[in-house]
Parts: sequence; structure tokens; C-alpha cells
Amino acid sequence: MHTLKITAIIYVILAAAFSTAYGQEAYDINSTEVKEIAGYLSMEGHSEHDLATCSTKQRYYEEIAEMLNDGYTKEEILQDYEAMYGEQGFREPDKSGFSILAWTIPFLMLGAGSTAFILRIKKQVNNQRRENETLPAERNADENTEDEVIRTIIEEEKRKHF
Amino acid sequence: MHIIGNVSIYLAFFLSIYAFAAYVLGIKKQDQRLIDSGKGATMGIFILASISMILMFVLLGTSQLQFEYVYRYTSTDLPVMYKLAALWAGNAGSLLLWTFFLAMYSAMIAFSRKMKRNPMTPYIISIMMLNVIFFYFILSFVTQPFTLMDGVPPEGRGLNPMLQDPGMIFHPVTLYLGYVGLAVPFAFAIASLIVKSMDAFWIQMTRRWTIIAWAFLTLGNVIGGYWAYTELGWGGYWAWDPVENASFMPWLTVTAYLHSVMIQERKNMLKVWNLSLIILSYALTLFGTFLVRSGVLTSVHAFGETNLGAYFLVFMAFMVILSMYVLMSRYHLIKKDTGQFESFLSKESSFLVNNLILLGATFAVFWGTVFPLVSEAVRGTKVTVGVPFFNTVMSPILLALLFIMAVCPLIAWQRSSMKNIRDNFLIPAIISLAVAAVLVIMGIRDAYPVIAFAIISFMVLTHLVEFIRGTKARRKVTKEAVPVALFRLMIRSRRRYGGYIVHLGIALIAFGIVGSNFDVERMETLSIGESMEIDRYTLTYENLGQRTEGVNDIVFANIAVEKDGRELGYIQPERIFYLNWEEPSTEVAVRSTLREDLYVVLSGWEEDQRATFQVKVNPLVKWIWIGSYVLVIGSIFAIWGGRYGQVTPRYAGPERKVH
Repeated sequence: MHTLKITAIIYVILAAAFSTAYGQEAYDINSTEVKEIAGYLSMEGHSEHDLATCSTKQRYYEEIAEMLNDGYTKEEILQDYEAMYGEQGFREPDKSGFSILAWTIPFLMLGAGSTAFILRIKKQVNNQRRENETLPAERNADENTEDEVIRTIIEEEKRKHF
Repeated sequence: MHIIGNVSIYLAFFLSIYAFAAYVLGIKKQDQRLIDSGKGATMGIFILASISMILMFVLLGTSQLQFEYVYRYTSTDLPVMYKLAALWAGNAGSLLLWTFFLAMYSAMIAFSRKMKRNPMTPYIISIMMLNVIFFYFILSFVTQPFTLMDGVPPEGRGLNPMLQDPGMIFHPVTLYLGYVGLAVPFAFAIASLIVKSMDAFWIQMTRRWTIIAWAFLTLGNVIGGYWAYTELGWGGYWAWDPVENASFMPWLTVTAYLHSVMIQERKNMLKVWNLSLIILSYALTLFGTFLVRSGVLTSVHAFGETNLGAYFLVFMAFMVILSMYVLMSRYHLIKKDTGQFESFLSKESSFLVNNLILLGATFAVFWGTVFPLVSEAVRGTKVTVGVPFFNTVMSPILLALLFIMAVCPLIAWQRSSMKNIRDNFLIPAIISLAVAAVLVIMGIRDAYPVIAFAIISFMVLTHLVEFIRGTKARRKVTKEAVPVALFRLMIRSRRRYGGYIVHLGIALIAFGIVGSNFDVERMETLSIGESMEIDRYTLTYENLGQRTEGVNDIVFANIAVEKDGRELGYIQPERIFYLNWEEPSTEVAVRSTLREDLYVVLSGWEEDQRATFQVKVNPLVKWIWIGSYVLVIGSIFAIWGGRYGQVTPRYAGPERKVH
């Protein structure tokens, strides 16, 4: 029992030493994880500033690295900031509640526009189809690049001669 | 001098009211003398605006610190180039520049050879005059450029160091030329509605104006992007900042307009749509100015918070209501003889899809920009709508736009067959898919860059196919040599091939933007002689030095750069300390190649000469600037005069006694 206790204590001490020795150096401001988490935060309006010259941004980066070194996960860190600053602490609106409108309205408008566009063209195409049935066949021919080039050359020649 | 300055402003204000009244009365009474008098007044306004501008340049250049504007934005030690550029550093000066451009454009239209004896002219200039009156009202009563101080201060406050950059000379001027340029097609559009001239005359007459305005708007945005890229603290070349968005929105709507007018000219379609687009574009220029000058949204690019925004909002509302009223009152006339779509698969419908996407993009930018205000108004929380939001929302929209740009040129007018589609698209599509496959094999796993690079390749290839088809068709008839046939093909359809060159420029810009997302960044503190590695570069910090330039002190670091073990020389990031400005500025050192930019910032240093550097490797950024040059070349090519296709359009609308 005594041996087991000593082994357990040694194990805990080693584990702590290991995490101190390696864990604290694992993350710094250059770590991908730190940059990724920082990418979510508005950093009190400093998120678009340059890391090189913005002390607020640097403080956030260091804080995130420290939290990661303390064993916090990405989700826990983000939750921590949310608890502190709410939605305003982030660079983009929430994807729930009222803020969902920020994400959806542009696509809803685009969808509405596309529907209106399809309906309008469909109506006009049907009208034209009925009218074109009575027109000669060449009226419906493609009018592509080759035709246009030849038309331009003919106009050019006309201009030369007349 | 302040008397001359103030008189030039007040006199021009009253003259603009007189000119407007003369045009309106002249039109009402059909009295040519009144119209001629209005034209004289228009020229007078331009002369007075020129006097104001010259005077302001003289005051700034000679450091007349008794003038508040000179005191607030310059100091005696400022290089003369920046003293002069300070004219548009503040509200009053920049609005004076805007007014000058407006007065210049109004005079150009009033005395245009092409508009001689045209009954639309008095209407067009009176609409321009409404703008001039508004701007002179602001300059006379809200923000006056020639205000005197109580005494003469020994030194001015100086120009913000961030503005002491060549970008300051070109960016505001090009952007304003773009903004003001849009007032011209707007005035033509409203005038054509008032005189009930429902054909495409106004579009043909303003084609060059609009392309020039669009090119300046593009140039303004690109120069601004380059400036923000090299100026620290502005978030890189594009940060979806409200002020950046403000100039991007009219760019998108004018781009839509430039495409849809082709359908009206050719097929007599989309008349209401085109009128609405030009009204919207014009309104967005005013809305942008409201954003920049009101302080309602936080932006690093905005002028200080003033009450100017409210005036712009009221004026914008007035002009939009006026134009909508005119549009609605002529709606039945516009709808007469309007062309119809004949197929889902035609150039017309693909242009309309392009318009739809561009307007969708405009709305998404607008919505993202104002959403913090909406959120605050509805629930009292001002949320941040930053880069991640815009990247998420705009990426699919802009990719769709690139795809439509790729497809549009090869679809036939009127009606396209499946054979036409297959013949034109098969090879470009196969090659683009091969590009996507190569990228995946190279290790790129994110969907967006792979799709984006594939679409960009598709777009470049379809355009090359179009050049090849045109050249072949010409050679079949003329038997010319390939270069001759290509050259003649292009100069005989300048607008079409100029447009294609612009498209290729956009493809290069998109290539650069997508590539720049693969950037890597490190920040490290180094002692002298120490090195850091980033990507394939090794940077060795050799020493920290100091030098004096004029009254400014500059601290710089010498860094030796190696790439894959090969010496590339030195780069020198700096920090500048100004005599008349508290905050130092940071000058980035950029080593730019077609492949990538090495971007080094001197962040700080200690007494023992240890220094902290932020180093980035930004891939393909140079292609953004190359694409911009191509785009401008394409615009110039499209509008350049010559023997072909630049015929003055004939006015066929209702006649009047006055012109």
C-alpha cells in the first residue's frame, strides 16, 4: 500500500512536471490554434489591426496561448469570451436568434430575385415561342461570334466602298 | 485671401441657384436666352470652383496657418506634395474637390459639341445643378474651407502620418472622379425620362462617361487596397470595412449596369431595369458619403464624426424620391415597344443572371454593413459584422459571378443551342477540371480554393476561345496573318474585346485574392545575429540603425533574407517618429515577386537591441495589382476613339425650342 502511494505521488509529480515543461511551451502567439481562436474574436474592435503594432491584439493572443497552455479547449476558450463579452465579443453575428437574419436575408433576397427572374423569362419565352411559330426559320438562328465578325467585315467593306 | 476664397464659394452658390432657375424657367417658357444665360452661369461656376481650388492649393503650399484648414491638416515641415494633397484630407477640402469635379463635368456637358442643339441639354445640366447647389450649400454654411483662425499659430497640427503616402495623392482623386462621374449618366437618364425620349440615346451618349467613371472607381478602390496593404493598421488590402464597402457597392451596381445596357442597346430590353440601376448607383455614391462622414459606423478610413452625414442622407432621399417619381410617371411609356426574352439560354438571359448576382452581392454588402445598426435599433446590441461574415456570405456569390463571367461571352445572342454550348465549353471545362484535380493532388483540400481556381481557369480559357474563334472567323474571309487578324478584330470591336480584357484582369485579381488566403505569419523577438524561419525563407536580423530625414527620425532594422539557402539581399522595415505627431508610423518592408510577397514589420525593440518582427508570406498578391493594370488597359481600350464604332448617336426624341 505504501509503495503504491509513493508510486502515485511520483506519477503525479512527473505528470505535473511534464505538463509544465512541455505544456507551457506548446502554445505561443505563433501557434495555429491560437491564430484560429483569435480569428473568431473581435478583440474590442482591434481584430483588423496588425498584430505587430496593436498591443490589445497582442494581449488577446497571449491570453489565448496561456489558456491553451492551461489545458482549456478551443470551445471552452470561446465560451469564456462569450460569457465575458456576449455576441459583441465575436467578429461575426451569431447563427441563431435575431442575428440569423444577418446570414439568411442576403440569400433569401437572392432567391426571391432568382424566382422573379425565372418567372419573368418563362412568361416572355412562352409568348415569344407562340409568336415565332409564324416567323421564317432563319429568324431563330444563333447569332454567335462568327456571324458578328462577318457582319463587322461586311460593314467595313461597305464603308470602304461607299 | 480669405475674402477671395469665401466670395468664390458664396458667389458660386448663388450662381448655381441662378443657373438652375434659368434652366427651369427657360425650359418652361421655351426661351433660349434664359438657357444661354444658365450655360454662362454654369461656366462661371466652373471658373469660381477653379479659383477656390487654386487658392486652397496656394494656401496649403505656402503654409498660411492663419487658415483653420491649413492649420488642421498641415505643418510647415511637411513635404510640399503632401501639403497639396492635404486639400482632400479633411471634410471641407474634399467636398471642395468633389464640387470642382461636379462643376467641371457640368460645364463639359453644357458646352459639349455632341450635345449642341440637343433639347435634352438644359434638363441634364439642371439636374447636375441640383447637385452643385447642394455641395455649395454645404461649403457655404456647414463646413467652410476658408475659415480664418483668431491668430496665426506658430505651427500646424500636421498631416496624419498614415496619410503621408503616395496613395493619398491618387486614391481620393480617382475615387471622387468615379463618384462624381456617375452623376452624369444619372442626369442623362432623368433628363431622358423628363423629355420622354425613351430610346437608348442617353445610354449611348453616356457610354464613355460611365466606363470612365467605372474605371476611376475601380482604380480608386485598387489604389486604396494597395495603400491599405502597405500601411499598417488598415487590415490589409481589403478588410470589408464600412468605408471600403461604401465604394464597393456602387462599383458592383455600375458593373451590372454596364452589362445590362448592352441588352437595351441591342434588343431594346430592360429599360426600367437600367434606369433603376443608374439611380441606385448614383444613390449609393451619396450613401457612401453619408457613411464616411456621419460616424454612424466605426471605420479606420472615416472622416471624423460630424453632422455632415445627415445632410447627405436628406439629399439622397430627395434625389431618390424625385427620380422614382419621374420614373413612375413615365413607366407606361417605357414599357411600350420593350423587347422580350426568347430563350432561357441566351446572352440576354445570362447578362440578366450576371445582373442578379451583382445586385445580390450589393445587397449582401449593404446588409452586412448596416446590420450592426439594425441589430442595435431592434434589440439594443451592436454586433460586429467583420471579415469572416463577408468572406462566408460573399464567397459563393462572387464565385457564381466568376462562373457567369466565364459562360456569358460564349453564349449566342437571342437563342443558344445545346450544340453551341457543347462546342464552346467542352474543352475549357475539361481543362478546368484537370486544374482542380492537379490542385487536389498537390495537397489543397479546402473546397473553396479548388473550386475558385478551377472557375478562374475556366473563365480565362473561355475568353481565349472567344479570341481564337473571332480571329479564325476573320481569317476565313480576309486571309490575313494571325496577328493582323487578331489586331483588326479587336480594334473593330473595341467595346467587346476591351470588355474581355477587363474580364481577364478580373480573373487575375481573383487569382491573387484566392492565393493570398494561403498566407503564413510569424512574430518573433530576435537578438542581433539571430535568425527566424518562415515558409522557405530564413531572415537574419543584422542590426538596428537610426537616421534623420528632414525633421523626422527613422529607426530601421537591417535583415538579410535567404530563400532555400540562396541569398536574396536585405530588407529594411522602419518606424518613423514625427516632430508634429505623437504616434510613430510603421513602414512595412515588402519583397514582392509573382509567386509571393515577403512582408516584414518592425514591431518594437529593447535597449539591448533585441527587436520584434512580424513576418508574413502572402502568396500571389502581386497578381491583384497586375490584374488591376490589365483591367484599366481593357477599359481604356474599350473607350479609345478611332475610326470604328465611335459614331455619335443621333437624338430621335421629342424636339423642343430650347437646347
